[in-house]
Amino acid sequence: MNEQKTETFEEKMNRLDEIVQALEKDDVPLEKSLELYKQGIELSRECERILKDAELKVETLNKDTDNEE
Amino acid sequence: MQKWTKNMMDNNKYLSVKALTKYLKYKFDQDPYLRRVFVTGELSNVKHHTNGHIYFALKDGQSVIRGVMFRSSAGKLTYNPEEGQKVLIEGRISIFEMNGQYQIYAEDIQMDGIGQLFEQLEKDKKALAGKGYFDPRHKKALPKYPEHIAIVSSATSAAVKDMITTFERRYPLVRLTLLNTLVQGPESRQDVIRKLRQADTLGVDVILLARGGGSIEDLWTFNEKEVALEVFGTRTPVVTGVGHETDTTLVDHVSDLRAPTPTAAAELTVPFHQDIAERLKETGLKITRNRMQAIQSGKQALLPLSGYYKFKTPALLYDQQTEKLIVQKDKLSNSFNRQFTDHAHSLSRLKSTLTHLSPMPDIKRERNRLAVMNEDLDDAVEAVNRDFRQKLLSRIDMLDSLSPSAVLKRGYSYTVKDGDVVKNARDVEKNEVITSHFLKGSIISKVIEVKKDE
Repeated sequence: MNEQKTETFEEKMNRLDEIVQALEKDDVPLEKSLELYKQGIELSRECERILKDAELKVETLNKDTDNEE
Repeated sequence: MQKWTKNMMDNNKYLSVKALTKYLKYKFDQDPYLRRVFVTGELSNVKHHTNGHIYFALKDGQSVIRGVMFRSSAGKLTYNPEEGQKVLIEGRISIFEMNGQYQIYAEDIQMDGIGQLFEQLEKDKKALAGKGYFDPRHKKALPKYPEHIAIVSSATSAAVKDMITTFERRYPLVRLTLLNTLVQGPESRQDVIRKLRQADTLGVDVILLARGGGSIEDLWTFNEKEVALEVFGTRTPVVTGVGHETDTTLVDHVSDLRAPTPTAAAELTVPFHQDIAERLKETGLKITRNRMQAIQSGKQALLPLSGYYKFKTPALLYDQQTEKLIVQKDKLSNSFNRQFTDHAHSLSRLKSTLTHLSPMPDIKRERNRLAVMNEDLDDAVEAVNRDFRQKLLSRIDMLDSLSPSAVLKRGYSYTVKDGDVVKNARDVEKNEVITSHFLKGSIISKVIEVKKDE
């Protein structure tokens, strides 16, 4: 669980890619492929949820700097 | 002597150096032509003092004049004066009293024409390209899904607002840190460098160096070699988006990715979230389809196997054996029966033989004989017994007649000493006690005298 928390969106997407690649190989045993499939679907749902819930965070440093523009 | 005296006398007419210098300075300062001069020449011996003043010499083929630009004016410069540059200087001529040097006090220094700027730019570009700073091998890869992006730009500018809108629209997952930066004017060069350095320490995934469109002079900060070197040296990948599509500045060559505009920089830095969502959906479909196909092909492979006639009629697998078993069982029971019959037969034969040989008839006969003999024996014993009883009775009578009591009846007695019958008077001594038994009772006597009749 803890591991999932620290995993970045990029890492999740990469893991999903790996799962897809693994699934496309012909020599995956059925049990393994079902496990991978389950993980893949869960990951893709998780990524979709992250995308859906995302909110842009903007922080400004050095606000006091004069600006001539 | 005379001369010396004269000198003494005329002492008043000698000026001190200070007075003379002051006079000369006054003449310079109040001359309308020297108070405001425009002079063109080439910079040399340019020194940027830490206090902010710039010292230099201005020369052409024939002459040289020293010059200084105080911090108050130097701060307003839009570019960085350097050795060998052809410049237009506006200022005044005056004398520095400490060394009596006349010099030009510059209030503004400009490159001698925009062409000069580009000339300088071309030189810098060549120098950097020569060092390989534009090579693709130096370009750092941008993360596919950046989490944290620093924007080095003017926080209040339209360019930044556009970028934020773009991020909002394309990839709201990202965290933005704006480093409010001067992007034009004399101090912008140092500020851009400072903010790039700061951004590099934030641990962000990408730095966006951006500025909206403007005149070429406005954008010049991004053509400065020092700024370009800073961009090149940054450890974090830098994406540049300066000016409009047509503007390519020096920083664009050294950055890891050049975008034509600030908005384009934002677009190129992050993926479009709908694309990702689309991809995720496709991925889901793809792996689902992939699974379905795998299952389908598995079923296909299973079909001929499950259709195999022996699987359908499993009895076929063991019919042969069942039949064999029945035959074997029959054989077994037949053979057993046969053997059993044989044995039974011989057994009955033996039995009948045995019967013939039985001793029972003999036994019976002998037993009968024995019974007869027993009866005879009993009769004989009876007869003997009767005989003996008769004899016994007669003896008892005889005995009776001979018994001592019969003698006693007739008046005889017998004497006993110490349990023994006294048969001889010699057996008794005087004073011994003797007992005399009669038919009825007895007498105990003490011997008075013994007469031994020989």
